[in-house]
Amino acid sequence: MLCIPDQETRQYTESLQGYDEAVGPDGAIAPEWAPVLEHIHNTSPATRRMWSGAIRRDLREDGLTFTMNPDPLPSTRQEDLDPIPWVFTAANWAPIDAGIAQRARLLETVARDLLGPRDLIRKGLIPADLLFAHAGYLRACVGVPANLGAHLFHYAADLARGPDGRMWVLDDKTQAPSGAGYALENRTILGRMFPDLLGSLHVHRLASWFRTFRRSIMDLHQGRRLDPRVVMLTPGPYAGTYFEHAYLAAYLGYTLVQGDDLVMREGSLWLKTLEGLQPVDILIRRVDAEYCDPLELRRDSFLGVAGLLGAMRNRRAACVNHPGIGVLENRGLLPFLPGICREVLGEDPILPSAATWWCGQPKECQHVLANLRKMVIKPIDRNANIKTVYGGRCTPVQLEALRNRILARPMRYVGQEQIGFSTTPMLPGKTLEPRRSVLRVFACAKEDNYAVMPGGLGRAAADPDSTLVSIGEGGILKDVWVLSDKPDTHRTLWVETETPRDNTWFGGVFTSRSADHLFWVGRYAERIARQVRLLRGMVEQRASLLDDADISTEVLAHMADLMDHYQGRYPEPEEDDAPPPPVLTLEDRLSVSLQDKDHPGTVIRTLQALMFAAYGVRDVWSQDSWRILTTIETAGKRCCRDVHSPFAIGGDLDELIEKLYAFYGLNSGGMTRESGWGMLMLGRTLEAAIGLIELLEGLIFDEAAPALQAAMLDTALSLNENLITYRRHYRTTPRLDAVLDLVLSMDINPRALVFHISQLIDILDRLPPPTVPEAIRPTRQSLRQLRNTLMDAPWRTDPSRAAREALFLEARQILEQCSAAVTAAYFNHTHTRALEAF
Amino acid sequence: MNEATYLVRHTTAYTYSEPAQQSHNLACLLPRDYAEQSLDASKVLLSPEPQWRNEWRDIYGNHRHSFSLSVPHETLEVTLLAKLTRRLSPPPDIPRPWEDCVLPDGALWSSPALIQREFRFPSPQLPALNEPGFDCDDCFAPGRPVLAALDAFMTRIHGTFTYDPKATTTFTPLAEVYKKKAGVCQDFAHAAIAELRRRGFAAGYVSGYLETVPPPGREKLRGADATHAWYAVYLPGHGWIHFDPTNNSRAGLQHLITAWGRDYGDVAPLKGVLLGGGAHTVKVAVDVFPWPDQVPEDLRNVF
Repeated sequence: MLCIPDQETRQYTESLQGYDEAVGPDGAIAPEWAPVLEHIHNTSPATRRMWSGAIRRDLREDGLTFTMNPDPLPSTRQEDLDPIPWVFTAANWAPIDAGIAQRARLLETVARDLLGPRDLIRKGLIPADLLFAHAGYLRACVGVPANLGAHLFHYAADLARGPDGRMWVLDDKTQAPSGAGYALENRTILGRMFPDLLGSLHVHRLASWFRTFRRSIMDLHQGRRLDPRVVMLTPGPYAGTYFEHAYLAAYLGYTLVQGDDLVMREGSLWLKTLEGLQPVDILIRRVDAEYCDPLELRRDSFLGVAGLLGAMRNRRAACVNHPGIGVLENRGLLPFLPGICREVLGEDPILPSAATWWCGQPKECQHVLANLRKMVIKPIDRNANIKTVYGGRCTPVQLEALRNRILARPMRYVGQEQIGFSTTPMLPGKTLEPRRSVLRVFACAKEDNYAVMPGGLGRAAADPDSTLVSIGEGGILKDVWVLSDKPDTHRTLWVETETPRDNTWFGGVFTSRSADHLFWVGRYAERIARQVRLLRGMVEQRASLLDDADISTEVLAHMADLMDHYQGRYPEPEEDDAPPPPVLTLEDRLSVSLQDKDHPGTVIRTLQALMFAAYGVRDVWSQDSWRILTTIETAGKRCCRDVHSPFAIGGDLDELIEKLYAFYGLNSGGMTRESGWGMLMLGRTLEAAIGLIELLEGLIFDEAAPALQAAMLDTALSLNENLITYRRHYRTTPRLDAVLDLVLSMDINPRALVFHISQLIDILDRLPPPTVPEAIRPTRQSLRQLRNTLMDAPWRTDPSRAAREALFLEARQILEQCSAAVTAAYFNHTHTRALEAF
Repeated sequence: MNEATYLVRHTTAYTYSEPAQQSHNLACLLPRDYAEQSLDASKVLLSPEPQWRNEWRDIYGNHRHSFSLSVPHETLEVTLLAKLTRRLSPPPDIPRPWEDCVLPDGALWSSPALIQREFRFPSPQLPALNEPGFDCDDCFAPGRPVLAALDAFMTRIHGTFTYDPKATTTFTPLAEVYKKKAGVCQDFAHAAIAELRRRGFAAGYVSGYLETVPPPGREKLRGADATHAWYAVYLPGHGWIHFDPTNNSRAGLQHLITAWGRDYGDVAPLKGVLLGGGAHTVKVAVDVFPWPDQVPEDLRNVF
């Protein structure tokens, strides 16, 4: 026993209220915790504060706590991660490892039986009513083969240590267990903070478990193809767990898909990609089973794929976990598991369940009713209409109502003994505090057993007195360290040579939906950049008012009009007797253009659309790309806040533009030149080309006085970031024909229209041919013609305004046609709809 | 044992206002084959021909089909042709009071009907009732023999509910059926099942056909028969007894059985998921021909 008799430990010991994982009632620190607590102890308050800042930043930049605000995304969650891990010795962990593997085998046996012969009911090991009263028993899934060796491939359980020092199972997660991604993420963050500690303590790494997960899916798959294709099915960015889906899919190398990315044809599943339909064999299902096949399950669901169960029946598809697995999420099963374990597995259960009484049995029901105050009353299924009730917190009237509810439908309820969980040390502020904690452990099937992750997800109560721990209720996450007797060899998921069968990865294949999102990321980012350049130009223009006030005022007014045009704001038709519209100050204009949330074209709204599109393909961004995206969002929001400080706003706009350039720079340096990159650049280039034409249309005035014309051209050049180039090439005040040469036809100028057009042609040539080649051909021809026209510089032969305007109009039409053609050719993910008749 | 043989032709024709790019369809059409009914021959004709079709038995032993079209189509026609022989044992005589035939609460391990207990539970379209759906307590007077009670109950439904196809749709909730006291055979069956379950009986939904007999001297109209539905009650020791509340009779030789389940949703004859298709219209035509006399020439050799 190691003792650190300092004040902090003394205070901690004094505040203990029960069994603590780290510190005995006498203040003795368990040896496995000592190095960790010692490390914390030796850390200055300043460093501790820095930790918490670093964690918050990491969580946000990795997207764990990413939220859209104001939100088109309702996934508002504010998880926090405690720097202190939950530590287990190899010996302490062994019964958890063995117990979870055993429980997973047991649950698999139960699922296989209940979805098939139901012998457990005939043998009297499970009451029939318990199955029939349960909402998770989906009849359509009965008899559908797993095609993967196991119905329960991926399993998680919540454990807590009771007052007797034993670990108890509180709950089984079998539908689509979440949390493994958080565990991985937590380890990554703590790994940055405590690299030495992790190494010297020989903490088990998590990568080998994920590798087992990947390999087992291949090994256990009983399909026809030797190299089965795996995708992860997510409900999409609106789901609270989307971050984890994107994170895990990217880590495991599975394509992240939504229901409308998939289609059932000729009995098999296919993925809609830019390259056409690609076969899919295995679905990692993160959509609740009821929603995964609108043909046979919930018909109003858009989250699944019609025909999934049929494809499984024909052994053309496998699903992790089996769609019928919800039969296991039945709390009434808990009291019967030990009997089944002994009868079917011939073993005594290693881990006990929380003591549970199913009220469908008369004696048990009486016991629950007689001890209501000591019980937690739960529905047998995850029924939204029935809430968990803590008997001890009820008023007599509430207790009576509860009793009546149970008596009306006893089969729907269980009573559970309330366990006083153990506490773990936590660092919520400057000092250690004990908090009640729950441990989530993960397992996946392998050849003849289950592999348990040597680690997991700890969750601690958000406040010191709380006995409740819930991810949704502001719990605080903890990394879980399982110490090994010998050092763990460093492994990543990829380094080791894997069997040729293990080819789960659509190398670089993009779903049509991802391509659509990337295209719009490109468009929105460029649209913001263009608007911000204009706003910055307006701020600068006002600063120059002192020189030549009349001209500057005039230019500023035209710039404001251009801004309105960019954002799709058009003046109301004026009535004769209407008062003249109020003259807006520059601040008002900036304010409206930047932060008006009610108008779709404003910077804040475009920023939201950008982040939404980017978040929809969270799995394709590198860590750094995502970090820059989040800083773009932060910088954008700052612009919107600082509108009324002329000095600050200039700097904020500069910073936002910098971040947008950094985003492109990083991606052009880091993204492989595949279809995804092509889509991003296609969107960006189209937007840049359209923006340039609108800029010229807005700032060229043939009728204006020469001085004003020159000032306007000057501004146009500056906004297109060509002013320096112009001066270097022409050494005169701007002349219209020379300006047009530079920004329209100079093919070495990356900001010239002809350059954008060439780039569009180039990208379209490199994209995979669409299923219908005709969809894209006319647009390519028009783009080539437009390029030739621009190279001829027609404004030199016919300088008339009409000719120029006709050229601009034609160019815009071609660009819009290009956008429409790309959408039609590549972004095909129309919703299906259900129909029923008799 | 009584028996009768029939040929059933059941056609469902969809017309879409614009082409459907794809459709996935789930059918529960092919009649059951069991002790009281044999399926002598059958065919499911599909037009246009689907790119994929599949057959299996569901959890209740019903025949299921699914089929998918992945080419654009503006119509879809599904035709069932089935030759069936229906057999009927003489009506049972069950002297037990009805209280003996409900499946009691809490008899978990030794119930005579463990698997049939499923049918005493609420189901997706038939939520649990807290009070009687309609006035029928007097049908279940204490000690009344079970068949007398159940016959009286069927007659009560027949008398209480009005047959009115305009009153409800396939998806009208049960509570509204109880309120309107009107509907079609599906609603009559649902109304009965929910109330029987409330009383502790195991009761199921049966889909099928009914042979209609034209008035004397009149010729039977083509396509005039219809799909039909009724309910069955499980009596421990005797099995399922079928009641047709729409016609106030126990099921007879003219009741041909397609499928059974907990409620309509388990045995909907056809449902589907479409991509495209716009608005749709559907036409259903059913003929039940007594074999062989009344079967039209062209149908006698279809198998």
